[in-house]
Amino acid sequence: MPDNDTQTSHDPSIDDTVPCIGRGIRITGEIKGDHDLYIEGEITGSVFLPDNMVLVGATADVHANIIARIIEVAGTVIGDLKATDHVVIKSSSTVEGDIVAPQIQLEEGCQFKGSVQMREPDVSHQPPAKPRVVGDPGTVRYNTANG
Amino acid sequence: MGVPSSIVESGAELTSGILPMVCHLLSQNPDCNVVDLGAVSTDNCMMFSRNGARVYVDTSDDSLRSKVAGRNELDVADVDDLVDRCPTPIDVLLFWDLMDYLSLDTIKRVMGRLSGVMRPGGVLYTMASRQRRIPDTPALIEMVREDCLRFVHNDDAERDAPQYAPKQLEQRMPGFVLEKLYLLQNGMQEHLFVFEGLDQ
Repeated sequence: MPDNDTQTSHDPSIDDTVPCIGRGIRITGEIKGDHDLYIEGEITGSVFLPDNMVLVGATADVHANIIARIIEVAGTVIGDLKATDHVVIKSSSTVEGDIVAPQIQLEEGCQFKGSVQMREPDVSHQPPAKPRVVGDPGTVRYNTANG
Repeated sequence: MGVPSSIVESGAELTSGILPMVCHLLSQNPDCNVVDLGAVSTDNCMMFSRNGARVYVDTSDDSLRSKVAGRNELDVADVDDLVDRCPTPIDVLLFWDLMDYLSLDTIKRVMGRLSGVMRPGGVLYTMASRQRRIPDTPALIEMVREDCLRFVHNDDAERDAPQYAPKQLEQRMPGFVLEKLYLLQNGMQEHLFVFEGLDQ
């Protein structure tokens, strides 16, 4: 569950049932699904949640391209971010990669290197390409029916 | 008695003669690649990007601006890192308030490297002070509107301005031709150079 001490915005629509990749958890592979996701651990691979929100917490270390409806980053992301709604890069974050979204917010103080493009991303319902630095292949699919 | 500073008060809003031209160019070409070498205001990036342009941003502590502010020099390796990351070919290159802090040799090296990734017909929008004195570190230049800039500098220390003539800059930028000049009220001279391509 999102920790109240972490530096992320708490969207009221994100409740306690949001799946969380907790601190100390490492996942390598493709993450796909149909629910919002909160990340506090480590991910290498790709994240494909085109209809949902992805929150990258302050302790997260993500080496993956992310496709989602909304992306908010407070931790570390090395990879491209594509969102159909908006992207927020928080002041505590470190991000290297390109961002494409109709709305993009870079908070003062963020460590960001990459390009920003304010338009609807060209998102197909295919898993995004993995970034150049990747781990072993594999797919993790989490099912909301299983919680 | 000391010589009074000739620097306009920080925060003053100034009408720009070249910014509207660049904004118009971006509005007509939504798929432009824009690279900002200087003090990046995230609001500026959003304004440049709102027509769909791809804007390269580096707000990190090892950005070019941070390096220039720290040591008044740039290595070719610094520019190589930028070129490796930024979208190319470059259509609009922003080099605001950095040239005054670099030697002509450094400007020549930096622009020589960047000319290799400029799109023919692309533009360089740069500024250099015509004042005798400038702040010791580069200012943050904010776009207030498409015809208005705000200069923000927090450094009380000053230094002599190099007062580079437009021709001096043009001679050190292979492939670039001076298109337009505009003098702002704070003594900063805006330059718009067009990249006509490198000789074969």
